[in-house]
Amino acid sequence: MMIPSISKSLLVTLIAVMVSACISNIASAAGVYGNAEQVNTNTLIDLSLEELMNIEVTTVSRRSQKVSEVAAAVFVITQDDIRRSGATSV
Amino acid sequence: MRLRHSLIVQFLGLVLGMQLLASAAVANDLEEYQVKAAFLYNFIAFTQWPDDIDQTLNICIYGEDHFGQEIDKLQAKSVDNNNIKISRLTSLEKSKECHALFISKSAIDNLPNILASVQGEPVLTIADSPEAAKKGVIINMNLAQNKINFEVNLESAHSAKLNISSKLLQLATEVYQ
Repeated sequence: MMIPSISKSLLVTLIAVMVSACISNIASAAGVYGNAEQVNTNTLIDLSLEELMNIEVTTVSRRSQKVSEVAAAVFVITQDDIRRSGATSV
Repeated sequence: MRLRHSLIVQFLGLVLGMQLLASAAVANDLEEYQVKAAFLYNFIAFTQWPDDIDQTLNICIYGEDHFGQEIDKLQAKSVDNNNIKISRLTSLEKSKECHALFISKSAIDNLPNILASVQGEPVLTIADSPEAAKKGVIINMNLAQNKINFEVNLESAHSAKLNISSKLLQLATEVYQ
């Protein structure tokens, strides 16, 4: 079950790419979230009527949900699953 | 080797988790009633009452409250140096004491009685139900392509002795004379 050295370095690169993509993803998400939160509490009231009339709103039936309420397609791949798959690299 | 595998699995799990968190945070749009609360504030700012308001401008909500905390945030604001106070009415007894009366969708079937309770009083009636302006509510909000617009019944405004700014009338999708 030795991972060949070429695929090992590939694996490291792949993980590095995923992590960095993820960090930038979270950073931008935090930015958007922060803005929306600010808009909610302060700025919305200060907007002009023209600006308010241009905002697209979500209606009650399809409002944003909490993470805990969202159905997620996430499952756990155990160490055993990977071993039994016979794969030696990602 | 086993250690390395389990490390990889943990790493992948972490990455998946972070992605999920990020995508959930992005899905934060502005909700209908957050924006409607801001509209309400503007309607009040563009309305003149016949008598000077004595420090506190009362905004009342009659019927089911869809605004929640969003409308309470207006209390941190002022209009022409007057404080804003939000009240939720359970009966129409005190509707005359409101400067602005928001009539919820849940109460719209009772509209004739609600309008009768403030007849001739300087109460700015506001609703968000189809045809409400036509039926005598002064300002009514509608949704079109997920955006909010409003119509004004000027005749009702006149009989309530309220002066609606021309700016509001210009932006209204319809003005009933």
